[in-house]
Amino acid sequence: MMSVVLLAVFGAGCAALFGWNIHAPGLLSEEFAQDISKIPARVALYIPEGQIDYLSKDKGTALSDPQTYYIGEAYVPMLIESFQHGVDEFLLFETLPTTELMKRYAISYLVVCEIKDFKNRKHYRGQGLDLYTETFVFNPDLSLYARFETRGASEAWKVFAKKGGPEVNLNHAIESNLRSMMTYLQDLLIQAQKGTA
Amino acid sequence: MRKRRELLRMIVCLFWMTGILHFPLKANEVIPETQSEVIVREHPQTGDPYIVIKAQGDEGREDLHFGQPQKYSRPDYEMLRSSVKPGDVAYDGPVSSRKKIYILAASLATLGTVSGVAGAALFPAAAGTTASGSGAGLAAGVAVTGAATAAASIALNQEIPDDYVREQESRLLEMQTDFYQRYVAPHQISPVESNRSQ
Repeated sequence: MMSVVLLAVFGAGCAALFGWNIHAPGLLSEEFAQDISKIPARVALYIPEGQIDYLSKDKGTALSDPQTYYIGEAYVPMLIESFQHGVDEFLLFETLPTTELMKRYAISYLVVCEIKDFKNRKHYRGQGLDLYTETFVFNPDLSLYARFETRGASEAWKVFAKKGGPEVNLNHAIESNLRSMMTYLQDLLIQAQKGTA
Repeated sequence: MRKRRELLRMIVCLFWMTGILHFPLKANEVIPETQSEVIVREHPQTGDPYIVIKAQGDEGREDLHFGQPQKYSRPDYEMLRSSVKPGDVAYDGPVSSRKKIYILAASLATLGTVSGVAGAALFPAAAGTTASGSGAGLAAGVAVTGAATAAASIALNQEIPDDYVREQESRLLEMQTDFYQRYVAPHQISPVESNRSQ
């Protein structure tokens, strides 16, 4: 009888029952809009499929509780929001971009952002989260203009002791990544507009 | 005669600009039908509109439809300061609740299935709170529970820095290069280097 109950419990997905399911708010802070100003450019964004489902079960240390970080579901809306704040004319492709579409809508650059890795540096007194992404910038003829990688990290103490602590720490790591990505992208586009790149 | 021509040209230009007399300009390149349409969507949480290009007659990407909007307040990262106590900074976002762990552990304990080290290893957090496990189980529970760890660390070390840390960096991996830079320049040996190698 006991084994049947245990099998039923574990078979139903014990990992979902036990541990931390960490969903970030998925919103940028007010400082982001204050720090990042728009540049005059018409930029389209394409988000590869599967990004929104990106999650990590990296629990940091062997002794830690199981943790599931739902990164994609927060990253994608925050990425869209960062482009709303970062460029004057922002378009999102919900179909595969083509050179014809780029020409028709007079889009200067196509940007593709992908999550590459996520690391949890949980330690005895706190937690550090690293989000690695790669950004591709394409010309209107869809030839590669530039490719760069970004790391955004957030490290804080006593994260798990606070209500919403791990969630806000994850949000902060994503925002750090997007800050760096957008700043770097803006520099690239300004250089390209000036013809100095 | 010349004045008449100039006047006629001006009138034609004026009509063309105002759209009354509109003749198509010969395009440099014919743009084929793209079978696309432009719609406006609203950001799921902020409500700010943005432009979407999608295939004509298609619903668009399902994974980018965020469903019902969730109105959370923007996060305040002051919460991450170690001196800020839980509840000092308002937060209405999602929370990972561990109540279900306790419920599960309690239900298992009631059934008499949680006992000794095995039970604590499977449910360390629950073992520490329900006190149904053995002494070894309780110790394991305190060691791995996030909240308990953080609380213990305050007593152990008072020199925890107050501020939280943000790190960000971007690194260029590849830049647009032409044929010469990609295939010829890397193989060219400067005269100085060639002399040295000899």
